[in-house]
Amino acid sequence: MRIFVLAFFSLLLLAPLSARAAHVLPPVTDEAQRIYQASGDAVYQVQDIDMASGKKSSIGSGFQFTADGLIATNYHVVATALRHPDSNRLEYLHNEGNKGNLRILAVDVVHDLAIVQMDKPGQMFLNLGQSNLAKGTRLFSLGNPHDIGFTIIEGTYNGLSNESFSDRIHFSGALNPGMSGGPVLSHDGRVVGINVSTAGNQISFLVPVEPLRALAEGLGKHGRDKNFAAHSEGEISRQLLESQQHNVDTLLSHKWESVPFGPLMVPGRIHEALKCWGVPMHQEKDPFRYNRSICATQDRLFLDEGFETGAYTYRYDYLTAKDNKMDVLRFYNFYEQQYSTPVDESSGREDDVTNYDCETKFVAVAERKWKTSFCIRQYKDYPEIYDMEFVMAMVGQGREGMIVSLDAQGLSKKNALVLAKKFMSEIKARDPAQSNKPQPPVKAKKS
Amino acid sequence: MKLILEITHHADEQTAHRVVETFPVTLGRGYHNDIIISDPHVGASHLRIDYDGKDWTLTDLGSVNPTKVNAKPYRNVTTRLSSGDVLRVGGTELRVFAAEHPVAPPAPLQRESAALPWLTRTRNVWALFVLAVAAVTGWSYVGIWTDNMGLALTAAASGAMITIVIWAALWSVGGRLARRRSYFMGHVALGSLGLIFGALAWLTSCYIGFLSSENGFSVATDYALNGAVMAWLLYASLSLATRLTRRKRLQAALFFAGGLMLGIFTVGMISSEKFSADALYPYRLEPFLSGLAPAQTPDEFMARSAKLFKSDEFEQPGKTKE
Repeated sequence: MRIFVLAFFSLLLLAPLSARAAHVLPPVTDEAQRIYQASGDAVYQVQDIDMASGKKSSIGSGFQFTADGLIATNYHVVATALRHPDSNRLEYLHNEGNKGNLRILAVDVVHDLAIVQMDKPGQMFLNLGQSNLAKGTRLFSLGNPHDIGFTIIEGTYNGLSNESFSDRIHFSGALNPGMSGGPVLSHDGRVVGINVSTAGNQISFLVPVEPLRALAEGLGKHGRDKNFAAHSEGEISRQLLESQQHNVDTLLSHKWESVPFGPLMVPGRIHEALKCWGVPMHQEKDPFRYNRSICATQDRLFLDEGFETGAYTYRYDYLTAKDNKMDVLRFYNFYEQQYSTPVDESSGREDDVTNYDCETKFVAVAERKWKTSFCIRQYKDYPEIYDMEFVMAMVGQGREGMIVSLDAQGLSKKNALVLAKKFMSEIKARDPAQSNKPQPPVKAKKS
Repeated sequence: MKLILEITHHADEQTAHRVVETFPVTLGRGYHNDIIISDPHVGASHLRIDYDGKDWTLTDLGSVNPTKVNAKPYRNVTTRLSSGDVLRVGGTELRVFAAEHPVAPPAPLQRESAALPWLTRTRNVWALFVLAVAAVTGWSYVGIWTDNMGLALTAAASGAMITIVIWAALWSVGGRLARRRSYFMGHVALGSLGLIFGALAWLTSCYIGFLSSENGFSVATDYALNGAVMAWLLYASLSLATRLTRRKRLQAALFFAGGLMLGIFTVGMISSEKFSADALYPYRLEPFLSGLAPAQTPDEFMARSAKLFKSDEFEQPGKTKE
């Protein structure tokens, strides 16, 4: 869950969340007080202003990290203003009530970072440190949760999370909506990370400070581009291409785990950024057996409200009719219904992506025939980037069906094809010697 | 000279011919007339026709409703008549012909369809009816997935029966009006056959769609099959219910079925242009005949898939190494 909410919802959520926070927070030490007094003035609320009503439509946090008024925050806090400059703009609001306009200078969609320029620099700024810490190190997160007011939260550093292709710090502390983009400081008051998301309770995630430093250094190199917002597509497109290339290279750099599923050997958990589950899809009374295994990346790249990318999901469905309970016509009807259900609830709206375009043919894989569809859609603002959906349904095996589907977002043309092909090549017939499936009984001929 | 009057009765539109050889001849509702027309809109003495050895003339005798000759009203006046003129007297239509007035060549005799006696035989009608209801019920059995199959199948069977009976009832009312014969059982047979052919067309298009992955060819066959079934059903029903010529029946059936298919096609085209966040791949699966479909190798398939990308900057996978 992104810790970034519409102002409206923050008011609704205010009461129950604050009650829970009081219950779960570790006791606040004097050190937090010292850090807040020393650094709190460098923290700002970043507001997305809806120009039609003049009111804030969503909020996040940010912090000043240079003397000349650069504020770091999350990309997802500034995304609406960046992508819809005609209807939304950004403002900062200080603890003491100072406010002013913000101009976007750089974004990093892969790490969910943005650098914005204040129209009048504040007095105080934070120094960037480094995120290579020992597990258990006490950290202090600052921000403005739910628009309640500026807050400091104590928590611990729990190493890098392996749930993502890009680095994320696992922070044990209660981040809440509205704190997105706020700084996380170590004892010495230096920034080690930036608040980004929470998985509920005390499980939260931070962006390490290093990509922010790289983004800031990139700014210095080329001179500040005041018109960045007007032509951000090229840069975001470049970042997405680079990121997907890194992901696909990572996936293809090692041998894939092969696991038995139904009558076949299929790719298992091919990278630690993915999580896999097995789910039985039938009940006792059903005339069929239906098992599903699903592997998915946990992290998505936020591009715009309702438009995320970077998720890889693959799913295996194995269906058989229970003996004598279902004839082949009924079985196939049920099988077809399951096959027609898409893998994932797709994100993306008409402004963001084209319709999917599909190629469908019968393909011979693992000694069986599969009805196979390869579908792609293009990103309208980043035309080199595609979403891919690849689906195969085994046919001609009587009352036995298997659906293999792979949904991968934000790929280049080449990598979409490479990944689909690699996936097909990893689906293999089980070696009959190793198969633990009972052999069909040999029918004795009646004489 | 002989004058032939073709009189179309105002109420039942039956026509009768009167040959007139002595002139003048009077026409009206009164019993003193030479030709008596029992139409309430006709005057007691309505008109007179004279012959001067060369021409016929009509004289309107000033009734409430003037005589119309070729749709033009004449009251209290005399006008010349020519062969083929259409007279309107009250609600009655008359046409006047000279004996040598040419007639259209004879139309070939409309042969009653040989299938008609077969279709209207009670035993056959019941067989077709039962078969149609069974087809619909079987389709529901395969296609509907619910815990209460008994209810679903009863609903499907009774739905099929009601559909056929309503279909036959509407057509037989039409037939009664147009032809004075209702042929109810014949229409029950045709409705049943329509459902059976519809089910067969559906099954065929399912398989064609499955084997050809719903390409342009299978979509075209889909429309052709459904259109053909509908056109046939209309043609056959029109034959039973009306006296239209074969050409007219064919025109009507093709026009209606073609129009409906075009409408469905247009709606389909419009909705396919709409944005959808889901990949709408062809998902039809059928249990048999998949052996008939040619299977490609993964490489062939990926090479075809590469063509989905519109730009040519794409490089074939495998040919380039990172």
